[in-house]
Amino acid sequence: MSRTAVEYFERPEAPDTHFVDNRIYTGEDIFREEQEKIFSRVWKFVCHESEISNVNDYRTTIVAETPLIVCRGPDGTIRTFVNACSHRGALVIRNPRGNARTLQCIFHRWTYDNASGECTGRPSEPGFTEMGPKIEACGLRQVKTEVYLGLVFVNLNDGAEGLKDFLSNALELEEEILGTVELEVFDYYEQVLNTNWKNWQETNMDLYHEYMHAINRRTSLGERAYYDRNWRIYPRGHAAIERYKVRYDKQKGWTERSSHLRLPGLDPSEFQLIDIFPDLAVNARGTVVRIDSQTPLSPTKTLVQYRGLAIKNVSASDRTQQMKDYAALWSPFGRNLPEDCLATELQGRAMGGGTVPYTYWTRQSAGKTHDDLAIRAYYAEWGRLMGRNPARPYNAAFPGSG
Amino acid sequence: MASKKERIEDLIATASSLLDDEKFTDWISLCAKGFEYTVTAYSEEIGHRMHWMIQDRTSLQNLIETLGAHERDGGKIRRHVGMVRVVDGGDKPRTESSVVLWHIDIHGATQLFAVGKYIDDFVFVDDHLLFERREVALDTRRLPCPSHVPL
Repeated sequence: MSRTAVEYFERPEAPDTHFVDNRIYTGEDIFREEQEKIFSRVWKFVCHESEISNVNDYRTTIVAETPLIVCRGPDGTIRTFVNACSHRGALVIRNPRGNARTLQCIFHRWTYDNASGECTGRPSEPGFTEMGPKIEACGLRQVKTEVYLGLVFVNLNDGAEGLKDFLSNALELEEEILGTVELEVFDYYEQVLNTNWKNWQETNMDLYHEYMHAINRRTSLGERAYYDRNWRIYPRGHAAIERYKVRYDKQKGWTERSSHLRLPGLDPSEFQLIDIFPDLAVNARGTVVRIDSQTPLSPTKTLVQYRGLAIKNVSASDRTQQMKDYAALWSPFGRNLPEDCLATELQGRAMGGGTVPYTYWTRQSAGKTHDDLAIRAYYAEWGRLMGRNPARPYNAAFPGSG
Repeated sequence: MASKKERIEDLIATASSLLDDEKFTDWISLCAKGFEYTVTAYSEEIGHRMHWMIQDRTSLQNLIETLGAHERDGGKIRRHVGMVRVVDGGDKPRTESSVVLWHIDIHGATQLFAVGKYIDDFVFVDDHLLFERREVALDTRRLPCPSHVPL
């Protein structure tokens, strides 16, 4: 039966750990705090090492509204610098990708070394003699950078724990898949979604939503093994779901993938998912991997980056098969991605006005596939870092609750 | 008697109209038995040409038959095809045409969906002109919304 306004805004009859107040998705103040308390403090995935495979390659990105340039120096080491000229704050590099030993700002031609970040040249240098700043004080800010299993992470917090401690073994199920042979990003797509960034990350943890996907209903949801997978919960809000075999042959016109070039440690039909707090998801489907990461733009807008990863240096026919396997579900014209994007945008459309009060994370199924425990662990970490209870983020009750 | 170029232009226009109206089965009937269809885009981020849809005639038919099972945004795409340039005018002609695709959502709001070009190969079968291959080479690589349908 329907509810009155009082009933609708009433706090759910569930522990605080089992629901969130939807103002965590819409509050401008919460969004700002997330940039400071989460994205500026934890390890953030920015690219795969194959995107900067050659010496002097670079890749630009944004973390916590800070423009960054990720460089492979002449010594082969990957380092990251804030991509802003020390003079008037212009972006030093505006392209998403390139190769340069010296980074030069177009505005006044100041130059920077791509390994040390030091400022190596300023036209009309004598003009700075009297009042400075000295050129030695004009280097780019360097940001902590570490690489694990080919995944490049940065941390804006100079005092942060190491990446290994942060990951807390959460990528153990991907070690053989990502860390055995050389992989490369062969597909890259960005999508602006008019929804809060956490709604997208939730979709990679809320496997109950797979009823939405026509393909999953045919190839997965009818299989007992699909439901019998255990979630593994790690410290710091990370989680992983054990793998199962997808029945691609059950989709009309599709065949099973046993003859396709497989990723190491994975059967061609197996599906493996890992979620790393706050915004990284690693989906492996036997022959290809999809890596999701985000740049939150506002409380109700996020830029999602999707990377397709596969074994490098394969034959033309194997590469075509890798592209087909990936595009079938995960390209912007694949079977699943349009549906996921639509559903999360519908969340943004409904909740964006701030009048829809709660989201339930109450599903319990003995810690298996459709249990919400991964999301509950995620929000426990969110709450710890934010210093807010996600079920009661404000002292005041939800507007309209009377 | 229409020239070869006129027949090609007419076929491209007919195909666009059918695609606009989502008469996909009728559109497939304009395609040869060994038809190959791809949607591609060059990624500045990774320096590769990506393939976002790789289909043959059979897999396209399967896609079309199962489209109704998918959740879709309810909008429509309208194609505006530019002048057809004949790249190869031989027995198996090849053309390139610029294309602008517009998305009209369920409320009637219209926004640009993508720009690119159709690279089409044709074949004559018993004097019927058919599509043998189409590549939709997009310049746009960040779409307002993903889509299930052929462009």
